[in-house]
Amino acid sequence: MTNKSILSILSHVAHGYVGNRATVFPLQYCGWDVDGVNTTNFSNHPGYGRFAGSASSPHLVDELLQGLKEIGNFNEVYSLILTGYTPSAGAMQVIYDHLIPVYAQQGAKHPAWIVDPVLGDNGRLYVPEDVVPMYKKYFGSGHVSLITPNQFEFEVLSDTKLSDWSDVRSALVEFHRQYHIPYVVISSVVIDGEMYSVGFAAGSKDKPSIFYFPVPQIDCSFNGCGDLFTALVANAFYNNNRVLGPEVLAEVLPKLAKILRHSYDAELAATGQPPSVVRDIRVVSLRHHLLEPAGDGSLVKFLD
Amino acid sequence: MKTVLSIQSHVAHGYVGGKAAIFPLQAQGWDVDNINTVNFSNHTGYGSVRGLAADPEELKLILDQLVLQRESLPSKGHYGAVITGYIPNATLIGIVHDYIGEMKANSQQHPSGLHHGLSTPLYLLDPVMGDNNYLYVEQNCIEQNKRVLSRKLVDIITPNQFELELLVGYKIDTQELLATAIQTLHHEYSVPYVVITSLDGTMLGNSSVIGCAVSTSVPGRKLVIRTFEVPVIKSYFTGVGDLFSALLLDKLVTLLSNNAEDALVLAVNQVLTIMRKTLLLTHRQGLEAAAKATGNNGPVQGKINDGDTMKYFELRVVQSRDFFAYDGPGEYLPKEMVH
Repeated sequence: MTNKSILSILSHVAHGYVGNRATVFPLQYCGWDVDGVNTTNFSNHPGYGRFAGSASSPHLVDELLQGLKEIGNFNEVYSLILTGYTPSAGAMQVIYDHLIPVYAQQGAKHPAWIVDPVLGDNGRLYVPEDVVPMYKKYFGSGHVSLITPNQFEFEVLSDTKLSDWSDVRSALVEFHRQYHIPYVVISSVVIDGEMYSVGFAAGSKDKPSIFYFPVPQIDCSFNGCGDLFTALVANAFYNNNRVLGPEVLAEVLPKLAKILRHSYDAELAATGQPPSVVRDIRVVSLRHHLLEPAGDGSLVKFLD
Repeated sequence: MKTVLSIQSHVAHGYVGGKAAIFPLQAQGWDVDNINTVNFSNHTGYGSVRGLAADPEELKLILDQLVLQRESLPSKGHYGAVITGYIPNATLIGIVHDYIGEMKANSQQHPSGLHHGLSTPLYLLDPVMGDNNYLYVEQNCIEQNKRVLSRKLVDIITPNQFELELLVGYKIDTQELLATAIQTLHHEYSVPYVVITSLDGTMLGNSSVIGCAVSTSVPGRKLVIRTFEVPVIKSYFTGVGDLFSALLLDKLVTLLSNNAEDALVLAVNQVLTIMRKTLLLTHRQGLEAAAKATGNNGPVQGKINDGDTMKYFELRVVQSRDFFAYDGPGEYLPKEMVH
């Protein structure tokens, strides 16, 4: 196996680009062998109003992970493990129970565990309440390298409200004091009406590095955008020797912005109306943006 | 309209079924909707496997949503193509084809001017049942696939030699029998495009090759079967047929849209050329990985049911990304089969 091998545990939909359908192809296109374990088996995401299929039972997730363990040691096979949308606390517990022994193995180089704590967006929870403490349990394990919440998710998980930069700073510092996760990306935060993407790196000394980039705001929501963001961050993070710095976001944000902008334009062209939601981001037809060179990162600002 | 509904197996690790077919199609610009007929940790070549086959009731509901509740989805249930591969039992095969029947009943004339009979979605059936005289689906799938063929929904079929034998019900060891079997697919089942893979080279007079036979039925024209001879790479690869069918769909649709003459022959030549590059890359990287892992520089071959060697020879589907765009004349020389 190549080094670029990732275990991606997210949802599956037959149609559309959310969950594994928004992460697997972009990662593959960037050269990753992706082992996809599906936490759901749905026809499409719920944003269409109706859908069919089911959440994967904890037992099925257990079986799939057990099957993978029987053919290879995760520490040897994977350089990254990504966990995201999981619709039940039961399935989350099963994932936890499989991953903890991987990190307990002494003397091994462990895969970096990236968690996208998918809870909801814009003030609305779309997982059961008991999923929230499960994410806190993941964080408390001491094995998570990087998390990629949106503002709402970070606020729920840190019991804070982010209204200004001082809030952002103190919440990230307090969050790190509690969980010791070395890297955090808040995919989007709105401060004074402007949107930003924020990175936190604990660093080796006491003083963390907190940096942010402006993000072009489109008055529209994009289903699967957070999953695609996490996939791009995972790739850039790995390419940066598993260190989160401004260069990681400088690589990811321009690509994401182009894919979202062009998806919006395609939707507008298809319907003749400015969309308030893009249900299918154009991951495949806009794939060439995935391989574009990184931005220069000159827009970065640091929080003291 | 580069949209395709792919209905085949899912494995978390390794490259068979959808894992071998979907990425190449996506890399070629196809929006692929994918329905998983099984949800397994890995393919059975490893000797151990866990997971489940699709639940018939759930499969029905998902197809219903994608195909019949068409107003709620942007695809409106209209796909440019449908591709099916491994489906583990007769019940699931039946359900899948009820919905493909629905799609064909609501179909539109294919824009290709050369092929008046074609309608969208174009349907490629890979009747995956086994290989090398080994059946890896339930026995009743054979009869079920014949019933499917009788519904005359299929535009492109890609059985290997063993699967063709199962469909026609006799052993094929001469070119005459091969021609008869291909005619059965054209005439009895009205399949316009037939490609037979993994043909025993001795039938073509060369035991060091694997054969591929290609035939297009054109009303009013005498049937011409052409064969390709592909040198054997000594290793066991899995997922080869799944990758082949996916690439064939992409190449054939592209050529038909350009109204190319002898589109199927050229498409197969392109696909075989891509397959050879992919297999050589897989073989080379597999040997390197095995040597690195075992400290042994001797020859290693992928063997079925042996996870220790199998794992090194998973198709390098992702690493072969740039091969899939090949649209040249093909590296092989098609021969007209005399029968």
